[in-house]
Amino acid sequence: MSLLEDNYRSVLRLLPAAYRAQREEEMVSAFMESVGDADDPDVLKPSWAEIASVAALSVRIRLGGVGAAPRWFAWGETVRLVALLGLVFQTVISCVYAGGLLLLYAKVHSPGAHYEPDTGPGGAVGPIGDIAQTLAGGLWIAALAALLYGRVHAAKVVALIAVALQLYFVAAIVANDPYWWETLQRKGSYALLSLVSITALTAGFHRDAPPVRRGGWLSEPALGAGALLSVAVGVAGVQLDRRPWSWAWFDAPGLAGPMIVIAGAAYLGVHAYAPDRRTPAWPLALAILAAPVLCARVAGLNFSSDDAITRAVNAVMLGQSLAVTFVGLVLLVVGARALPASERVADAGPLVNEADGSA
Amino acid sequence: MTEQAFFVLTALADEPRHGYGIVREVDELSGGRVRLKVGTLYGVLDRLAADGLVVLNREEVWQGRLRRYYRLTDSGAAALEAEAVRLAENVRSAKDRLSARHGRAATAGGSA
Repeated sequence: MSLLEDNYRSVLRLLPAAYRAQREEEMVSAFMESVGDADDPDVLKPSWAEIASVAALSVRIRLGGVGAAPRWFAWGETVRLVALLGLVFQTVISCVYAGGLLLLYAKVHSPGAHYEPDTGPGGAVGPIGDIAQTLAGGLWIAALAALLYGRVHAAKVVALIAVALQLYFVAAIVANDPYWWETLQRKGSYALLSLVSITALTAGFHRDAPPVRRGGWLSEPALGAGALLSVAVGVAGVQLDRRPWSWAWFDAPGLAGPMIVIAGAAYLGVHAYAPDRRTPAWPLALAILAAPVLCARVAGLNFSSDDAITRAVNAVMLGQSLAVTFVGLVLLVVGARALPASERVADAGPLVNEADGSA
Repeated sequence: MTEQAFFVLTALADEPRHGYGIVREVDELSGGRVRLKVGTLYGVLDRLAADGLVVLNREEVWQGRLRRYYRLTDSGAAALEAEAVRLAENVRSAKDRLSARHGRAATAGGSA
């Protein structure tokens, strides 16, 4: 076996074992023939384009769509749910932010220094920053709407722009902040949630993915009511802002944590009392999302001060972190147990020989 | 139908072909514009096989290597034909519009 073939077989290990058992030999054959004219195959490695094509194939198989083996389909549904929940959460955050901003502008015509941690030091970002951040929120809402109405490509592009805007904001705020490391931890860890959402959206909604089923929690009335409630929460957040206990409940991880805990508890209730409605996708998706939320929450802890307010906020944040960790771990175990068994070789691909109908 | 799937089906229209045979044929049919990587090819083949548009025809061992040949099914031929008709309609529409544009330009040039 040449070094090139050996390297290519290593690349093929990206594919699930059962798929490889069926396809490896003919893929190696096709690849080696395609580079057959090379003078010295022993010094060649597969091109990055070849490696990328195998990696993309691996993602498409492992996050299976229609016709995939049950285990890979379950993982595909999980990642697609992560993307959907991520977009819904970004929509909630956008509405909360817009609600708070509306009230601030109505009260004082400008949020000024009040929103300094979010809009830039010294109000440097100011109203333009408010508009841009609201625009980024609008992009998340547009991405969710596009996905719900079957415009998957548009949803990916719009969500990517929203993430880019968010990252730009993080960079702009951190660059002007003397306490940039703390700010980067806080803002960067929140951006992690956006990155998880966009990664899941990009990887999960491939060409074989089934369309999103609108209805239930994804119906227009439910989402509209959720948006109104989120705006109201944003308004309440500003009203309560002078009370320190409220601080850890109205920022992004403070909103996401309870949502994960409530949704997780609701699923565990379904799991216990309605066995026919058990699914691996919900618990696993919530457990996956719990990880970036936990990172964002823990990053917000402040041990550099020892005043009563800081201690109170830290206590709330620690409580939230513990609740998210506990529920996340329980969901992980429940979801893993609900996954269908590993695929058999026969399930790996639609290879049917027309002569005898055998796989 | 994606352009890659269209070319793979076209490559199998006249005879069954194996993996590298399809890659080479698609390269030729597209004038070198579509160069399928092996991972991409098998992604397309999986999708077409799942939809019943292609089917495994036979296996051969050539110079110690496995070659699997794929064949276009009747459904595959029908899908390819429908796509070819759709693309031909698009081409015809574009040609009609361009002819009209050239005609207007010639008239304007002649009257100037």
